[in-house]
Amino acid sequence: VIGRMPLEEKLSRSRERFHKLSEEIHRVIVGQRETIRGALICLLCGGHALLEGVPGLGKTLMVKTIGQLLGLKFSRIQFTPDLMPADILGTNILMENESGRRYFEFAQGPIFANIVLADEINRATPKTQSALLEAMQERNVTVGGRTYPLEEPFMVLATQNPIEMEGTYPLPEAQVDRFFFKLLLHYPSQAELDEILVRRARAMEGTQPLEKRLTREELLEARDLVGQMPIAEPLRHYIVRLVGATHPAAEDAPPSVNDFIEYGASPRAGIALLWGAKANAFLEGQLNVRVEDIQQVFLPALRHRLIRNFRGEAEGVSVDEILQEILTKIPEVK
Amino acid sequence: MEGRYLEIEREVIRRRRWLNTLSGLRMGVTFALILTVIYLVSVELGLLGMILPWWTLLALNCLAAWIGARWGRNRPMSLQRDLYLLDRAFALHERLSTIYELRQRSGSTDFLRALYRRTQDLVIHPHKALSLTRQERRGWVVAGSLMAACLLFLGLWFAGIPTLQMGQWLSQGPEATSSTIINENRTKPEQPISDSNTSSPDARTQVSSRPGDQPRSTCVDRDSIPKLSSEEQAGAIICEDISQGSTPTPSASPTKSQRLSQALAELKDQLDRGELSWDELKEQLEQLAQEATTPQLQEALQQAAKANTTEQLQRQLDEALSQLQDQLSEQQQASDSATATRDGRDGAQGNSSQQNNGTPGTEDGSPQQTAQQGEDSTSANQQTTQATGTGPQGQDNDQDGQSPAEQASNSEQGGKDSESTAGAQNSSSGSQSPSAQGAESQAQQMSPSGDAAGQEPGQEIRDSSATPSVPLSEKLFIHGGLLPRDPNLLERMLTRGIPVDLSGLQADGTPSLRLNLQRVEALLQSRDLPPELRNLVRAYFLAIAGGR
Repeated sequence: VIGRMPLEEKLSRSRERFHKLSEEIHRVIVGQRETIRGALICLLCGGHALLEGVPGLGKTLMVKTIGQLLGLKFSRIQFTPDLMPADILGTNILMENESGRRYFEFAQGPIFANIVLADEINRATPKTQSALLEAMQERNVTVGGRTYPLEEPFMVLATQNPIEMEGTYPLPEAQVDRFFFKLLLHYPSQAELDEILVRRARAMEGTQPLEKRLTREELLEARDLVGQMPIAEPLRHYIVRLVGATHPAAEDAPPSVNDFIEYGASPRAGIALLWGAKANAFLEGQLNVRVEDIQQVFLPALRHRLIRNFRGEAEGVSVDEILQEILTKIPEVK
Repeated sequence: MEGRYLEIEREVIRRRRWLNTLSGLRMGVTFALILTVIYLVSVELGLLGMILPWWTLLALNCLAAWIGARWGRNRPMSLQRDLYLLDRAFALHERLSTIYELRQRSGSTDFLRALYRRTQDLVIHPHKALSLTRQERRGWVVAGSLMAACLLFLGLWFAGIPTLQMGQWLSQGPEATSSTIINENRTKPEQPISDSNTSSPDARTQVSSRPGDQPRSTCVDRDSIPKLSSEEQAGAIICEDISQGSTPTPSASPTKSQRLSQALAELKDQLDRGELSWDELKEQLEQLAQEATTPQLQEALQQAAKANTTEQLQRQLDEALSQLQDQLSEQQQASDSATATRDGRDGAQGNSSQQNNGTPGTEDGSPQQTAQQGEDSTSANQQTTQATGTGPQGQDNDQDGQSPAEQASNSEQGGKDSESTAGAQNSSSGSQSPSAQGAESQAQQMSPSGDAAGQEPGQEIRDSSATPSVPLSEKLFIHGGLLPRDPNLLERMLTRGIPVDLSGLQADGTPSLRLNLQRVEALLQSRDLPPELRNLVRAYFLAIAGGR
């Protein structure tokens, strides 16, 4: 386009790729636009996403689709109660060379991929779940006293079922906090369900293979652009006030926070909010972060970081409701 | 490229400076007005003795406002916040505040250029986004209220309405609390008015400002009254009235008697019509008995309340009514005689108030003026004698114990020495010569030595509150020695709103004024004054007409 600066051109091209990626995902997944958008934001920010929804909503399908479309190394781990950390991370195997000398060789687990689908993550024991901690945060794995870095981009997309609680192990807070976004999948509307049925009818006759829409380099370039996305000081202060308001007895905290929240959001929540807003602005074709970008990613970035107290759980108060109240009460300009 | 952004930035800075200036101005004005109100209240309460002129107060307020405005203008501002406000107000997607952020932190020039480009065609008006906040508006309302309070306070003050006694003033009327307050004299120590201090406008009136003083009004000597302006004259109270404890409070007796008489008459009518029960009647009679002005009347009413038969009750009521009628008629007679006495004495009394205060004469001490006044006094006497046989007399006529012949000789001397000696002479006795009396009623009440029923002259004025009538046919003259000779100017100066007529020129060309008592009465009627105050005003006019 004539007259555009290289930056704007780069931004435009990169954003166009993500739009095509999104369209491609929607060829497989009907509806769930917010969830898909959240997953793309996580991809742009290098964060991990926890997808929560009842069975049959297409969690696994969505992650598999994203993995296929990205053209990156994709692996799937089905979490079960008997799954061991070594099954995820890998293990040292005793090998013998041609000269008959034995040695240990590290056999990489499924964690060594660019896109990891941790399906039904809450079915594994806490020990196994914790095996992901170092990989998710440090982006490396330590086995047998030796550390193995994970290849960028690295992204864990975990799914969990909120209703089948029997035989599950809720994720520890430290583990949950490492997820960039928690994305909820909702029941499709009737029109969407009808569309799903139409597509499935076609699929029975044979589906078209998915084309790779994004290379590793293109993803990293997009991440770089998102990282450069400027944000004004008042917006940073807005983020600080929003995160601060999640803490009980904070000056700006609304009454519901004081009543139903035991622990507020961590600083990691603020970082997620900042980066999520940047990625959102990127996807919206902006050159800088806006208030609306922060507000759009506020819920997915914070809903899994607030811990309700006994009263909140007993009364069934939704964290999303509390977050909405915070969003309403905290002014954009102070 | 960044031109438009820089323009916007400059506009925002200008706008913010203006708002900060306004804010500082408001704070300065509010602070100064609070202090002003405290100061005014303190002065009114007598806590502060230092009186600042109004223009000094105004100057101090302006200074505080200027300092506040300067402080506000130089106050540090948050340009980023203002740009952010603009972003939000005009839906600029936070571009301006982001540009500012990138410029401050030397951020990515690529993004900066791109953002500059997107702001190039912006047309915004910062004043729409940066305006007075609600808090600021409330602050201005407070400042405006304070300013209004100050102006109202000062306005009432300058208008002569006592501010902190407004309740009393409103409930009792302006006459009860007082009429004239001259601010410059409010906290000055009271000084007797003399020749030296009457020459300055500030010293012409003597104001009692202590809370216990009653009434709180301008207190002037008789002699200084003609020197006052018409407004000051209207509210002036002669000092002797106050100094002798004769406050112009109404004597309640006539009014009470009339009221009792009316109540009794109504009661009698109701009794005749049978509208009242026996118990109600007795109860009302007992109440009336408590309000009775004399013991006899009280006894008659109590007996009526104890009556057993209707005939007995009727008889007692008739008796009480007749007593009340007698009492009213006695009061009327006393009032008439006192008025007549005062009429005669006022013509001859001159500066008796000054004499009662023991102060020297209040006349201007210039020899020329004294001589002039002496001559005019003579001519005035001659004119008065020819016209009515009464009228103003020279002060030398008040000499105690003098024979009519001696006084006549003094009068013939033109009063040249009277001005300096009259004060002392009158204060020694307050008497009047028969030639000065000029009225039969006055002569009847005078003692052989000239004292008016043994009372001081000031007391006569006080007692005159019970004498409602003044002979209206009299034409009294005012000496015109100190007045300008141009009749038109004189009329403009003195006769507007004052019941004084120009009576022509005297032999030496001095204009002469004549007090028209009919106009006095008309004025009094139009003002709807209580009877006692009317008498006081009549006495005042008689005093100034009969003095010099």
